[in-house]
Amino acid sequence: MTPLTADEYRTLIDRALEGAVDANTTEPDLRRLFTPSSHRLALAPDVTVVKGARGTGKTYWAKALTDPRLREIAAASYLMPKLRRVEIATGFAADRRADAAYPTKRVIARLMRDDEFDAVDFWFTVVLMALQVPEIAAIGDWPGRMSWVRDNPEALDDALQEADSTAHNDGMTRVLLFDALDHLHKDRTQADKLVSGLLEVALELRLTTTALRAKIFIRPDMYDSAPKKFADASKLTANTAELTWLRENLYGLFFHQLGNYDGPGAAEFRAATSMTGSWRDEGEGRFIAPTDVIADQTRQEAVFVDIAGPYMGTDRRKGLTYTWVPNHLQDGNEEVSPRTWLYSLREAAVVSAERYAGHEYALHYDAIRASLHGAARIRVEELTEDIAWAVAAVEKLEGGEVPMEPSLVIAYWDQGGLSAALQDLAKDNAQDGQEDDGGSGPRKPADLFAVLEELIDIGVLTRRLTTGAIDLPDVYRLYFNIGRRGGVSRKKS
Amino acid sequence: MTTPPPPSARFDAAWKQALAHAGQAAQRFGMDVVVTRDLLGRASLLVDDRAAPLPADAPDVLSASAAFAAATHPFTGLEPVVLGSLLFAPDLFFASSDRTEISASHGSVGSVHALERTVIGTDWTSAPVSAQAPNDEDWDRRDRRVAMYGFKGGVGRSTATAMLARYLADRGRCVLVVDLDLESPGVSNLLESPSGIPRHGIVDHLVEAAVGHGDGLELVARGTALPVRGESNGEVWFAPAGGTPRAGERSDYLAKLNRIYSDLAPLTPGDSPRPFATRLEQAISACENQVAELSRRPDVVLLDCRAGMHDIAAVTLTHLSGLALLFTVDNPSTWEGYRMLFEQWRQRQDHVSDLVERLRVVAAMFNSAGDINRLLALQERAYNLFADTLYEPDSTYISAPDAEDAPHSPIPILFGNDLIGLDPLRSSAWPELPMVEAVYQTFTTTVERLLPSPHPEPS
Repeated sequence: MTPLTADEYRTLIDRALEGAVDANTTEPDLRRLFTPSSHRLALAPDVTVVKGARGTGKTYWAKALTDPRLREIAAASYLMPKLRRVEIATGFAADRRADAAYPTKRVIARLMRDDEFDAVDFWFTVVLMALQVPEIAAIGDWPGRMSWVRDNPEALDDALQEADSTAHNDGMTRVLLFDALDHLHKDRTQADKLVSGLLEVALELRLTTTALRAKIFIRPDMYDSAPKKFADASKLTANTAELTWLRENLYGLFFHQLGNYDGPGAAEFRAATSMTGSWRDEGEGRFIAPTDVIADQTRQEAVFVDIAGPYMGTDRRKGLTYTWVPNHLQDGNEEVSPRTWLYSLREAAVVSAERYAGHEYALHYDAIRASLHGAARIRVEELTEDIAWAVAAVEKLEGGEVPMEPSLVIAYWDQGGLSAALQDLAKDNAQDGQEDDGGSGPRKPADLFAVLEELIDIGVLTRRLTTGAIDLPDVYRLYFNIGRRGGVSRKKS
Repeated sequence: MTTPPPPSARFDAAWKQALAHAGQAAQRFGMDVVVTRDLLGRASLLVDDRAAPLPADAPDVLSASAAFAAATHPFTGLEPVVLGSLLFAPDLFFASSDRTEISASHGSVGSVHALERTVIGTDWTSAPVSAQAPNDEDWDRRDRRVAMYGFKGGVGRSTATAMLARYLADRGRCVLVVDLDLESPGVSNLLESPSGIPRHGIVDHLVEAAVGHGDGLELVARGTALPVRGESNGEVWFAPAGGTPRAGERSDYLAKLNRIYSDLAPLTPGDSPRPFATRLEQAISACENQVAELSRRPDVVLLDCRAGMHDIAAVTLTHLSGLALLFTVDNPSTWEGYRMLFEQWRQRQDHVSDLVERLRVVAAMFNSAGDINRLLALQERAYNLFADTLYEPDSTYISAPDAEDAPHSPIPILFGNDLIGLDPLRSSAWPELPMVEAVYQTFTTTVERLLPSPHPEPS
């Protein structure tokens, strides 16, 4: 088979990544599902808490787990046969169906309003609904169900024990998934309280049943800020997994998409990357790359150099393409969201085809540079969906320059009326109860210094180590009109 | 009763005054002005009046001259103000490529340039010797040379050089190490015994070639202390600063050293002059040629460079190497030193962007001792320095303080306490100790990636 030309590569990248960059509207699918080694633990049925920042794939895995075919793929790829003996139910998610086991946001807000009910009772009610316990399902409304749980602790225990032994006798584990917890409640204190209750219920299931398990996908900062003032809380922390994307995972994802595209070029790409072993044909059009293509950085770099050339310019002093792209997409916690990553590569292919069609490699280094701007937009969109308040805070720095003294950041926020803006966000369409609402607010909206710390926590801002000045990673900075201080202007000769 | 001495300016203050008066003159006469400074630091104002000659005794000229002399005393040139129309060869000043622009001309105000006359010219700031033309042989030679430079001595630079040479040879390259520490030549740790030192050194080439007598010197020897492993075909060669004479021969190192640092007139009238940079380049080329003759063309040439702001370092960093590794330790005097250096370079704005890409910071003897933040702090200080002096506002580097392949991002040599007291000269097996290899691993592998590919196999 002849190797791909630069132009064929561009077409392949453009088409193969077309769907992947709209990750939120596209369901995980059989061919494209990629199983990075670092995510193995996150899928294990007995791991209760899965921490992942915005855009690392929490919802993706929650959806994949509910699909038996995709679960089978995960079971096979991760050598995790236990995944074949699970029944999955959803205890909370962003795209709520009418017959869901949990109420709408508006109902939650009302239930929590007068401290009449306790968050633990709420989640036990959800658990019983998800397990389809007849006594609770027979009650028509949420206040009624919660009253039942509150008033009948022994019946609750009995119902759980029965569900447990049924599942146990069938050799199954019933896993309840909780995702999109950013959208539990607009008010962060209430959201924290709800998360805290959920964690307590999850631990209770762990400790008192053998076949009932909760799996909670959650942002690390939300996990950290939820109070854990219940017995044995440390057992939960010991049982967490994290969704991280190492550099080799990102490249593995990219190559997997190219090799699994359903059209011209994919077979040639698989052939071109089969020096050390062939792609394994899994049937139904799904192929698995040789291990080194998804796990070995030296091999990955060789593959990427075929696509993008070795350097970010005309010679090696301009930086290496393999490290340059992930480096420039990092947020303050050195994390890259896979969607930004794939977007950037696709954009680079499109721009290369438009402006550098004659270039010897598929991706031109200047096109790669240009693609960062689009990737920054994608990243800010991601943020807007779950952590809209962070976007609002950074917007207020517009026209400024980083690194910026913390006091200056506060001054921008004071003048820009950030506190009021945060309050508006918290009220904003609170009544429609829809999920597309920007998530809950900061922990302490009135305390701007606390807001600053929280932004550093979630990797939107960084603090320079030696000077303490506040900085903004490029993946955000390029979207907002914020300059970078430094550098010496010089005229060109 | 004594009369107080007239007020006088110290060296730096006098230069500041000279530049200020140059600006005034450019305005008053509406002409381009060059300020020169001679070997002793004495300044003169050169006014380019060739288009509209001024009378030498014009009141304006006389008063400018008097004011200039008063402001710069005692660092005043023999003629405080010189008119270009009266000069024998005005282009030597007004068109010299060694000029540094102080301010551009605007409106009716002329431009101001500075022109330094020191012993060896202005190698810290002047343009690279060879033009940039890939595929050109001179360019390829420069590209294969790596300057190993530390502003402060005693940071393990020579040991790192030896480790790098050994590693690259293990990987199949032919490596030449040139000792440019001419002021304190020593037995190289690349040699098992001093008897392996060749008969001549760099210093010999500099004095002999000055009188057209550079051929036939014995400049290089095989490194013997670091046997190359395996079947790699790699080699290590060594060129000392000064050679070891044969029994009964005399060698007066100091007498030679005293005669090398000068720009020389052409050997034959009509040829181009021979600045120190060119002469040093020729000495290094001679060593490379000798290795090529004895074995094969070197793939990498490591220039072990003198510490400090020294002429040799100036030439090596700006003219002779394709990659310059700047050894740093995280202390104020190191940063202050590099800042001084970079600010000099910045004056030659047209060459800075080429230069900056050839630089890489090395975190030397970095005692990480369980705290990664210390390396990050060093990286940040390096970033601040580069951002203040050499980076341009819109360059890629400026937008990525944490990037791992920017010039400022430090390549660590992770120094541990267990290395103290280990003497590489005592045991040739030293580099093979696992902990020693671990210490240099990031350094050697990172630098390898910054090097050009080895020469193709001779067919």
